[in-house]
Amino acid sequence: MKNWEINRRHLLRASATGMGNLMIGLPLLEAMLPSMERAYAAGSEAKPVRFAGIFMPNGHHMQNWNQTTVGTNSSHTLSPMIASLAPFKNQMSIFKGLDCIPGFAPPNPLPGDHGRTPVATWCGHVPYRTANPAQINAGGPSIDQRFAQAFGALTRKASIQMCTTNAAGDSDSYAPLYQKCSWANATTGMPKILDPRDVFDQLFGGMAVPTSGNGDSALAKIRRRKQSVLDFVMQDAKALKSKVGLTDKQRMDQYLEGIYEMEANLNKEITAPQCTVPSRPASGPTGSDGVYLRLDTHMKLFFDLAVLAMQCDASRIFMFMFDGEGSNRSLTRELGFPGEWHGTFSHHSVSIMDNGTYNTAGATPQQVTNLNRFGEINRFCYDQIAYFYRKLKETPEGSGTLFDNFIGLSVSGLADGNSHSHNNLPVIVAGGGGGTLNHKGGQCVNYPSSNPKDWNHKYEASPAPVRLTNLFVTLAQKIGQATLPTIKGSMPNHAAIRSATEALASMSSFGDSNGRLTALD
Amino acid sequence: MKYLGAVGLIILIAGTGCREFVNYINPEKKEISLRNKLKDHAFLRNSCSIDQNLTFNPIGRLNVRQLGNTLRAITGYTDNFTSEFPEDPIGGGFDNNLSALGMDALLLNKLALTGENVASRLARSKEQGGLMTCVPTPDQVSTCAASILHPFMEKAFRRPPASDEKARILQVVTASTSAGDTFAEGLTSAFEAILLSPHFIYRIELDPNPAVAETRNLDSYEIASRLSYMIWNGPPDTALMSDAASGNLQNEAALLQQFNRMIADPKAEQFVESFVSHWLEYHHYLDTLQPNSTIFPAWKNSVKDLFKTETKLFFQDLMNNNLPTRNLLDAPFTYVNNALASHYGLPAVDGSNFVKVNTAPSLRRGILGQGSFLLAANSDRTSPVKRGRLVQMALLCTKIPDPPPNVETDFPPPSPGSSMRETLAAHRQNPVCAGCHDLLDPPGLAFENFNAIGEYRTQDEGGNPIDASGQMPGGGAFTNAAELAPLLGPQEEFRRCFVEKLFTYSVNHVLNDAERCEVNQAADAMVGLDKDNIKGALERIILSTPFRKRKSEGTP
Repeated sequence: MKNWEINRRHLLRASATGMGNLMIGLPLLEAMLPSMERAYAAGSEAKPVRFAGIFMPNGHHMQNWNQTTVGTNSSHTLSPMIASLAPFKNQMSIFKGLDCIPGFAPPNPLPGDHGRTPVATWCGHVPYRTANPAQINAGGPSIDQRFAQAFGALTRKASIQMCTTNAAGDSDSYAPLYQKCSWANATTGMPKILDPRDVFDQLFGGMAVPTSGNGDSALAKIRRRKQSVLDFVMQDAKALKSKVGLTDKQRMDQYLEGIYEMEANLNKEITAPQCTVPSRPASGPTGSDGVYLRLDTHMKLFFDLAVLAMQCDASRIFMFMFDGEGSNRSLTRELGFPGEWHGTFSHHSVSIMDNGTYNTAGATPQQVTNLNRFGEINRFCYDQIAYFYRKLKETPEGSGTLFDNFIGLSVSGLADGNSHSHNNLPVIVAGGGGGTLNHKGGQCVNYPSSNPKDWNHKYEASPAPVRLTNLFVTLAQKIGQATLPTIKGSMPNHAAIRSATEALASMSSFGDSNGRLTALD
Repeated sequence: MKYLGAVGLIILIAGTGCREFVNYINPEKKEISLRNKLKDHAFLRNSCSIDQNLTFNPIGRLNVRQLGNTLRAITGYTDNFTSEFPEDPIGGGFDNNLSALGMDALLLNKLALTGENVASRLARSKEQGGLMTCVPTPDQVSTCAASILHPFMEKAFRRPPASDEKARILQVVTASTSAGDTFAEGLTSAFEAILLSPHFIYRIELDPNPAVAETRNLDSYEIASRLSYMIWNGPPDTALMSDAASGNLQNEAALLQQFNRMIADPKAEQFVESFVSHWLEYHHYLDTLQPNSTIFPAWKNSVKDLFKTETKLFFQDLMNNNLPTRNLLDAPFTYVNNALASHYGLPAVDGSNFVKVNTAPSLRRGILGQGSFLLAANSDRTSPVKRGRLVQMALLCTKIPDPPPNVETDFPPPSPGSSMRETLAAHRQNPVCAGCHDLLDPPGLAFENFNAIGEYRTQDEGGNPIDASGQMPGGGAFTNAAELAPLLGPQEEFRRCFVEKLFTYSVNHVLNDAERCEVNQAADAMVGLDKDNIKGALERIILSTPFRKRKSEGTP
């Protein structure tokens, strides 16, 4: 069996710069697993815990969302909007009353909400209001990148960000570059990947057969030659870096980080059980007619790749955007009615009242129709999320399933899309978190300190907001705790990774947070 | 002058946006704002102090189009290379903004894979481009490799390689062959290294003292690259490199001579396509818009390509024949083939080739009558707001901010007895909306004779007769789109804005006030020189300080 083990490791060895052309899909045979991994597969060791942040643009039909009642031990009733999540009810916490104050851009609410919403949501900062890319400032890393920067080095790809289009609404206040859900730092957004083939290449691209020769010597040769290419360009970039000013040094750092990632992947071994390297998706982000894929088709491709990546432990941090904030995508193919997500449906023009219901009596029939269709779009999005969670729950891992070792955070950056409100955001946390998340048997929590009447664009009225970032702090602590036992002394840089992960586990603040939530303890 | 006053009013409003002009929180601020706007950029003319106030250009990568063109130019291959590359980010309206063109792992991987393929082909093929000029004996590896790699480096880096770079690339080859690889394998690694080098991927202009903010003249190779990436989206050719080597490009006459040669080259269609598609924003909305097939059953996506071809040919005609800039908006002609003539309801022409036709007596004038402009619409109906926004922002450089929350931004389709015009008028009763929509709606409604896919019509979606009349805010009255065009085209404000867009495209960054001052001077100068045309504007730009000089970043 020894040969099998060696060959299997070779197949899984990653080289981002090489061997990118031939991809294979191999079922993993138990006999092919190195003995240490067999023990791992049998469930006697801590499992990696994965994080998925799922962003929905343009807000929600808040009256429908509000139909979910408050309760624990699954005593609550789910709104029809999220009925497809019922199978996960007992491993899920629904949050009402969480606010994203940076979304309002205090101290003075400014127009351009859609333009700043993804940054405000995931970084907990007000992005600097500019259309000039030279002046961009997102305030800091996003929460997923805090995770990635701590323990992303454990996997082939530290994190990956998927979005179905580059749509950026019609914002002229905020540069289109702000339409990203993930930021490495204040000025560098993570690449937003539209093309499922790119997602595949980033996650599995190195898992390929060398095109020439067999065995260790051929692989060693490929590595040696790639290394000489990387050495040459690294020297170029470092020399440049020593000759330029601050901004350009950062530019060269962006480049060098990409080169370092290739170098690391050249020598990284992926040692995960239950891994089947999938075949490369045939589809790009658009169909043969040049039109974007159906939203459900596109998200399904993303979710499928994420599940496979989890099985291979190719990455642990996944960000999804259903679409850019302010997107005017038409969902006619998916839902049968014409019109635009943002312009027609989120701005249905039906005003929301103090009790959280819509004033349909004061609206035209067309406006009410648009409002109802907006609710249909929300429900449709949750149906796609349910597909993802179902797949995770159907995939065994150790004695449980992937869903047990998973933290899913779905959030809408706006509550009532029509009024661009950033309080009472629709938020759901799902998955077992490797045993760190206590959903109290399935719960829906409301934070009454947030002014329940404040459904409109009046953030000042919220006397004691409970901040979305407080939930982020809690999740950082949980994923930090869950990840620590998966860091082995045999791993490269394990000491640094461990210490950064310990820092996550004891995170005390993030963005505009002012505490943590206890609901998941 | 009467009109200029009116245009001035628009620009006043534009300064910090009409939101503040008619503040939605405190409408009483109107008067204060109006006074505060008196120093707006449209009035900047004298003492630009441009040398001290140049915008620092960071190191930015080539955009995807430029990467593909450069790869083809230096290898002689005709492959697409970049069809699966991610879309470039937009900054300041264009896809060549150096601040926006950063790097990420996704793109770098694509560059690495592409470079790997290209390199192995280059090293294998003995016939291609004369690159493989020798087959070395073991003691001639370096000599032979140098004769192949050093000229290739010069093309790839758009400048002569430095001596240490020359030595280091040979070491890649010799280290490889010493380890037992073939000469071709050694060359492959070297080609791969050149194609992954930041000197290939980025446009690099190094300053002697980056930490001290000082302005310097660009060297001749830097000017050559600026010029060729501006006009060709590609690297300098042999003739341009030769003028760079001799230092000729520091000479205004020689620079203009190169410009005139390059703009007449077929490769200049790169400039036309990139500039116009971003200026009029159709790179975005035309590509993503999917007209509703129930309402427009005859629509075919292939018509989008006809629109693009029409606009390109139209712009090229104006540019190559030195027609006045006003013709961009008011020309009574365009280019169509049989399919497009039929789509537009113009007299039939023969065949699928495009020919120049008169558009009068129809209402189509200049780009305002072309699908690439008119498809600023919704999928199922026209959007006077989107078209009006494009007129104000793309053609007049008026800054219109986003709509405030809690207001209606989508309007129901017109129903019998209630036209879009009436819906919009009711909406403007709200002072919150009126601030911007007083600017947007009149020019937007002028195009109501063209439906959401650019066909001519006399009735709206609800069957109401079209009334396309109106008055530009503070300006002249019109009864339809053909009458609006001559109100806008000849005005200084359109010329100034057009030059500002060209400038932004050409210098690869968002302009500051000093640079807008240069824009105004260029717009004045082209009239003074009797060169109020596209090439006249481009000539002013390439001779300008922001194009021929750069400022180091300094210490922030």
